[in-house]
Amino acid sequence: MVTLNNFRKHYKDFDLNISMQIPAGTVTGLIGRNGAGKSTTIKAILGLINPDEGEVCVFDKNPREFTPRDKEAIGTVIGGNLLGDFITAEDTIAILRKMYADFDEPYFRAQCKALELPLEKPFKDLSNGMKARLRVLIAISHKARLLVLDEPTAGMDVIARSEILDLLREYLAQDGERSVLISSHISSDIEGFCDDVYLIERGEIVLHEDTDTILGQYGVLKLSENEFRDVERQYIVACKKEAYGYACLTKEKQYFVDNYPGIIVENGSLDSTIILMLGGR
Amino acid sequence: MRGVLEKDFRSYRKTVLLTLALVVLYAAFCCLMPGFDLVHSVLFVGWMGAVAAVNEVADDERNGYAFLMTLPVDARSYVLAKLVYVTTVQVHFWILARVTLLVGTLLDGKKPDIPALLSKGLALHFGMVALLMLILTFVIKFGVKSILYLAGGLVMLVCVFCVLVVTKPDANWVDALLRIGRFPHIGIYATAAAIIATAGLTRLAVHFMRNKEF
Repeated sequence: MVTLNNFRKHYKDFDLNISMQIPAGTVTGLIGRNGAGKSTTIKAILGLINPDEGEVCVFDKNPREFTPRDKEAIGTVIGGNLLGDFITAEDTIAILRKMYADFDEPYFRAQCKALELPLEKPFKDLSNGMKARLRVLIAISHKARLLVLDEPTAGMDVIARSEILDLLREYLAQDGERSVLISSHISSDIEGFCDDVYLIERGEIVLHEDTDTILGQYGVLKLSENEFRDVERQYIVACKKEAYGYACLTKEKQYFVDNYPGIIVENGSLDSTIILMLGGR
Repeated sequence: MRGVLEKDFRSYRKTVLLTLALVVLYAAFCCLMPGFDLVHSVLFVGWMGAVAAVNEVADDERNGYAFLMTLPVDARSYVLAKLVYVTTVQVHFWILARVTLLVGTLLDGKKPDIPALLSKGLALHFGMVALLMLILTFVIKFGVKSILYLAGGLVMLVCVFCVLVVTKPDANWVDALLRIGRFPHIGIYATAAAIIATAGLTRLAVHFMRNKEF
């Protein structure tokens, strides 16, 4: 559904050099720290920037050449002020009705009620949480085949984040061919929601893995200096110096459980993977 | 295009009341001042039309464009929607200017000359459409701050001209420039020039929008 093939973009103080794929029917997470290149990647997929090299294909087409009809198949959450400071949710309904042939107005109104979004309040007067909910609601209210969501849960408390993720799960359950790309720096959102994960750092993908693989096969070894000297390094992906010795990320947790019964092996999580991949060596 | 127009007019509706209040106050002032040249009120109302429209022309850039351009909008439909928007606003203010002129004429106890009333200051409204499309082109190409430079440049040009008119009123070229205003059918030529400029600027704005990165 989406392919970035050696997409390169040079800025004065930042380079993006990325390849990734989002197949139909999958939820893909893009995770990394602030300034790692998540938003630039999303802009590339949405055709908001031109590549210096490489190509980007969405629905087998360059998104810079999308017609308005093509764009109807994509739902987006990106930062900024949506449609204007003084535009209310009620205005948004009227605007979306004219923009999207498949805009589901009853659904939008019902969700506004369920999410306690005031229809008559201008966008500038909404709280950050309300703004985030309205953004997501706009993205999912026109039966898009692809959702591209840049930090959709930013600024939300844990309950509101859970509500939004439930809304997205419900949306995905309606059609198995729908795909989502979601960027976040909140790893718990990605871990519980995505099928696979891209970890981005300084404009490059440093890890691409199925979430199930990370949770099932990855592990963290807690090693003393002596144990660290003796273990098989071949299966260690990254390690970090700690007060007790070394924390090492492995892709073959079971190998160490079977062959080194004396060492501590913790189950892998997205958090530990990110910390060791980005903070380790 | 319909969606962008809907957005623009919904924002316009929320901000136009202040502009209209200013117009009504000014119109009342014009009508109550004996012997006041009502053409000034037409010029003022036309100018206020541009002021009312310029906010929407610049607002999308202020909001970052990026979200808007992920909606089903392409460069051409976006610029055309803006053209329709500024033209419609100018039509609103053209009607308002005619009403002001008619009321003022009637209050002066004169019989209104309808053809003159309809055509007076017409070129101004076309000129305002061209000016607004020039502003849109600048905003797309150079960002919203460019309006300040553009406005500053225009004000400086006017100031320099006024200073020259005051200090050298007898210079041939100043006289020639002032005589342009009294040229026969100047309104028709000015209108035609404004329409041609608007068409050119619209094409240029579409070109800049197509190549813009957000």
